[in-house]
Amino acid sequence: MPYGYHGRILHVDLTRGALHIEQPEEKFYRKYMGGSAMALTYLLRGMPAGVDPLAPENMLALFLSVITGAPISGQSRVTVAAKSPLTGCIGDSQAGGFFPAELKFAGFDGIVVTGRAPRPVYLWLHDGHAELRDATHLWGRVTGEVQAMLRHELGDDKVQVLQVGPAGEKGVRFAALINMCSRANGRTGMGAVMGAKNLKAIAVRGTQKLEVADPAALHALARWGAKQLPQSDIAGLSKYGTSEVIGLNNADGGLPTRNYASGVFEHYEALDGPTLYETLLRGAAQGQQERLGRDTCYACAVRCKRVVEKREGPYPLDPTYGGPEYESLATLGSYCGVHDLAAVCKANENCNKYGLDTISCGATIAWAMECFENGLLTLEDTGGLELRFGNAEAVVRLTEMIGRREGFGDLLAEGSARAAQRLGRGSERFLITSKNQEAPAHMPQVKRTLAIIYAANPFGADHQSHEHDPAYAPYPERMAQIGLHDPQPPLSLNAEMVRYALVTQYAYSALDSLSVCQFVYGPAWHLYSMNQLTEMVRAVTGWDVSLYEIMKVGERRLNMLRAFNAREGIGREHDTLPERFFTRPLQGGPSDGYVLDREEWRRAMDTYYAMAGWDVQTGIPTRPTLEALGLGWVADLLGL
Amino acid sequence: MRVSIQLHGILRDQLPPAAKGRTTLELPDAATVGDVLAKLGIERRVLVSVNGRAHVSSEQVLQEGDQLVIYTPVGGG
Repeated sequence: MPYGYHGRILHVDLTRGALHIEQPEEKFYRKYMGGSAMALTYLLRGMPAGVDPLAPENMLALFLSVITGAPISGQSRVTVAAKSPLTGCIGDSQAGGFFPAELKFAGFDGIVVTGRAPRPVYLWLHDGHAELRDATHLWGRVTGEVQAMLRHELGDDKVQVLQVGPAGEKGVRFAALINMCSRANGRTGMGAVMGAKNLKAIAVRGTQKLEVADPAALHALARWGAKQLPQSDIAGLSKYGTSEVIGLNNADGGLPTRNYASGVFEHYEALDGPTLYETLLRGAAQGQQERLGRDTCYACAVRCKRVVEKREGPYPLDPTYGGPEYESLATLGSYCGVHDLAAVCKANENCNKYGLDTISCGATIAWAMECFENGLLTLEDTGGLELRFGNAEAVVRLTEMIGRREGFGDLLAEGSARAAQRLGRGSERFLITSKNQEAPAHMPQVKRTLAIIYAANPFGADHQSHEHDPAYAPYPERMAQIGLHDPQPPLSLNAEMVRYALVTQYAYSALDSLSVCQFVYGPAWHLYSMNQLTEMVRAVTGWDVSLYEIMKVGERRLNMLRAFNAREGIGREHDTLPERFFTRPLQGGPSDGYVLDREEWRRAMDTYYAMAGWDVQTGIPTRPTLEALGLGWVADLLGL
Repeated sequence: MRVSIQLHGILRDQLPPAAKGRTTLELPDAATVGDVLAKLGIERRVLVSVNGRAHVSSEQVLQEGDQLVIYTPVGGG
């Protein structure tokens, strides 16, 4: 066995019920390393253009990487990719937990799923064996029930379960895959794809030891990280979780409030990390939240995951479903004008229970609220729900209704862009979407390079696809590792900031190819620098790998994502931003009056395509650019 | 002169929990943002806004009644 990976990829044809194992050669692993870089090689080669995302012809690829399962923080993550039913573009999403490492220990580096099972099935993987089993008894059940039933049925509490909830079964276009009942491959509707295949779950258990090339070097890096953590710049993420970002973004005037009308929320403290820590984290009443209220992913010292619990009141909280991240608090909270923390946690719980992306869910509800406030939706439309900003009960109720596609929830289950198309009445003017995907809770009006990435990112608006602007200046040593030396004043969108966006996008794309956590590894405030990431990959794989090589993997992945879209006829004309980002200045706080300048943004986009080596008119990668990345085969597929 | 301070995230741990990250400081005239950070014992990399103006430098000279918000440059989540 090679170091760090098995050389075994499982292919599952659900239509025929056939399984086989492919054993690619080493150079395939070295060139793509894992994650969606690897997944895209299958989607591009195995799928024609124009496939209905919910048809059997769509492929679903789940990939780890060459380092997943190694004993060091931030490596246990899985990427899922398929054509997205939300955007019609490439879909791509990452999640952590114990499932990814367990899948590796079960003997597999990735899974490629095709076809559709004639009836519901689940995939059971254990110690190199794979089998499809009947899942009729699991169909229609929420994630907590399914995880418990599978562990009981398989006779092992250590079985890890990745599954679709009822939302995925019912084709909610922003349905997620959920593992541990609390970790989500949330974005781009990958749960709807798996549900449409009648694949309810993937259960894994493994005891295969992962061979590491240089255990001493890896151990030294792991120890350095654990020791450094309290002084590091992710100490806050460690103690308060990503929920601390509520206060940080509000201070910057960048906390989306009432469907992006403002970047400050007058009740932000009610949702902030320290409030969550002191009130609803499990064990908080006894001062035991450090022990009971913080959770982790496999082998990770950071322990940033939250677990909430509440037994009384209108919103009891079940710790089975974990606790909210920043994005969930913001989209189900301030985005909707809601500041009842227990209600927001309950809405988050419902998303994990039914299998919904919290970002698209919260943002879609916020869109509906603005429609209601402006008389475009009535009580008759909503089934009696008074959908005003700040109505916490309505948000909680709608998460269930969307998860079940019940009543008014059936319309919102289409995502806000399709819902606006169906509703008409001018409701599209309230959309906060790019490529039909709802924007996350980081604001391009405040962090300007997000205006490039939200528009240009191949799988729709995304906040984890490059480094945000405020991190450029404070980290000169780490930025220099990837060739960035010249931070610009806040709100700049000049050529240097375009370069910053693109180079850090390559870095983040490399992180998503290596399937590592973007809090633990990265080019700025992260626990480990990009050079240390390189050291880690060397220690695990034994390859004499360089940061240059890793950055090229990121660039390769980005070009393949872009090429997938090009084949679907999706190019620059689809790289848009919500109209109101250019026309409606933010109101209040430090970002009062902030609005994007359309001409400045267009110029920045021209520069971005040119720097990326893509055709400036179409936004499509050119043959020389693809060939320079060793992707001549992709140029052939595109007929370039 | 006196300035008011609000700390966010992990920086709140510089103050007693009951303060909820808020305090006021008495400073000599011509004190700077850097002086405030030193007085609070903040050695981390931080972003500072003064009276709503984001990302001011540590050399910025303060005035009586200034309101400082201090936070870390973590992005994402």
